[in-house]
Amino acid sequence: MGNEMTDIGQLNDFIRQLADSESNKSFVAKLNKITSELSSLFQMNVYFCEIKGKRWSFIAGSESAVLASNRFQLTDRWGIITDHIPVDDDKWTLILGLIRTFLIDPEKMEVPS
Amino acid sequence: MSELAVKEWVKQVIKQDEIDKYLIDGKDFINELEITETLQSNTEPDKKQVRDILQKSLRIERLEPAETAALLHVTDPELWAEMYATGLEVKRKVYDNRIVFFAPVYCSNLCVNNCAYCGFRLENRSEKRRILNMDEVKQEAEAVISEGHKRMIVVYGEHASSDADYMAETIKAIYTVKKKARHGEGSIRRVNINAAPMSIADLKKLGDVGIGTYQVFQETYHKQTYASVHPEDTIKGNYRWRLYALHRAMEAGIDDLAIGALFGLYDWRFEVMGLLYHAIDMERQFGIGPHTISFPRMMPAAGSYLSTHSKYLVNDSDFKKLVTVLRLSVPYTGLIITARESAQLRREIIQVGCTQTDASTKIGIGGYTEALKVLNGFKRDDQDESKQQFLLGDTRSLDDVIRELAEMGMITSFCTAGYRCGRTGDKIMGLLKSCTEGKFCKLNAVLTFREYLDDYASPETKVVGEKLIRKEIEEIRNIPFFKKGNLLKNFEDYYHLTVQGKRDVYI
Repeated sequence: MGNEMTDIGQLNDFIRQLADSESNKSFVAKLNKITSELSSLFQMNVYFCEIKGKRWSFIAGSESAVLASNRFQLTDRWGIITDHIPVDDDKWTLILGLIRTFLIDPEKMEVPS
Repeated sequence: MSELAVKEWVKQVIKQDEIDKYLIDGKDFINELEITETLQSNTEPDKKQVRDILQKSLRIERLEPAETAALLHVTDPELWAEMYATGLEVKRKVYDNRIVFFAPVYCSNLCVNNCAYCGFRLENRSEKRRILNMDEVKQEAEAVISEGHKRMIVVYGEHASSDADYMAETIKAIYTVKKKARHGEGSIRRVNINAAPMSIADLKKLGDVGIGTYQVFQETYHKQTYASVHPEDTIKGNYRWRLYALHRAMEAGIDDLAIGALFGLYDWRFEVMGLLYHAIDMERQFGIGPHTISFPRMMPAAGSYLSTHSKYLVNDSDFKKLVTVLRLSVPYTGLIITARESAQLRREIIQVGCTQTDASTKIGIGGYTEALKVLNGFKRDDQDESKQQFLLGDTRSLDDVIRELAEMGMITSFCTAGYRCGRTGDKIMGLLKSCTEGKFCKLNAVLTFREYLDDYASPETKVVGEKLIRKEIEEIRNIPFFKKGNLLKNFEDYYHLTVQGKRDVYI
């Protein structure tokens, strides 16, 4: 892992670019790209879930097993699950905020099955 | 609700475009000629061929139809003994030695269909019709929770008054119920649904309120038989509407889906093949196979001649064989054996690879609440044919069945973790096929069994259970997988918290 703040900056740039461009890519494909970037920058396994009541349905991200203990609800509809939290609380809040921002607009999109 | 309103409702249920979109070249995935020919051309498998197929099952690879057909025709008792043992081995690889328990709850027996084998059918005038209101649904949930259950499957007749909106209300109502236990409160953590096929729009309503698994049984995959027991002028008379019920559910975002057949309507070998083709088509169209497969046998039902006189009724020996072949054919899927079967047969069938079962089961409408009245001395506790879809073979309590399984070395699990942490759909399929999910099953089985022993178990069950739980924990400490990362530490922390009285911690 490099400098954490630099990595967060890179993640910020990546997510902005992803939101602005590649409109031809499906929403799920974009979520997969975010999880790959998180894995590359922070060596963490992450996956996205769609939340409906108690149900957290897998939508995109790591295929490997991840503990249920690191579950973060980002919006009413979206949550992520990670195998560990690679940075301190403040930086983790920043990372979650970046992902949340990305999710808010595309949230209106239908998730393709 | 007026008869006219019900008739109008019936007319709008089936959406032809939500059948046609899944057909390939206008055909559905049940090609009866192909199934018959595959069965006929694999009638004499040799030992080597069978053993090669068993190795494939042990690699947790789904079998091809010809391989399943070969297994269905094994006659050598020694080979069957190997198949039974392999079935259990496959189950242990994928799911470890745990058995998940659930409670069926029947909310309504109003039905617009007229199925020849079912006590709920429209023309059965001896059936006492009832639909539970939300207070009654909550009472049923309270009674089920008081036994120690955490997972329900809720069953509804097909009727305008128990439509998707009613189902969604019942799911929401059940999730709100809390009932005091010895430590803290018990609740239902996963509500599964057994209901008639619906449109994608209706299925989304169930998805939105957090359904667990959606279960639809095809009853029979044989089209002529299907037509003969489901009158054409009823909703259920539409074979393909039912055949693609789970495809629509997948599109509605429900990715834990359960298939099944009612054994006894047609030849059991054909039905096993039908179930396999169903799994294959789900894999082909969505990349996700069935979460569970059920194989209820037709049981005596009020006023149903067919339920006792069908020429295809399955005997115990063939029943064990068909469950074994399903286990070997779709190694990643859960298999459900229910209290329809006798205690003795359940004991035997569980040993060929079943993963889920029920106990303390009541299948009358409001049956659990009625049973509480019995407990309080107000009524006799008999099965009432006029209020049930069929008669049960095993009416033992949850505590009795748990104790028996514990004595057999099998741990009861009330785990409901998977669908609350994204282990669903293709994610869980991958984890099952790689034999990883079973590791989580083991940990969560211990945590939820601890809860049960402390909150609900009888003194006799507690004695047997404590011995089993010590053995399980010892195994966990010695399995290399759990020593990776913080898994073992997390588990031990959670176990400690559970012992201290914290509830619903899961991995």
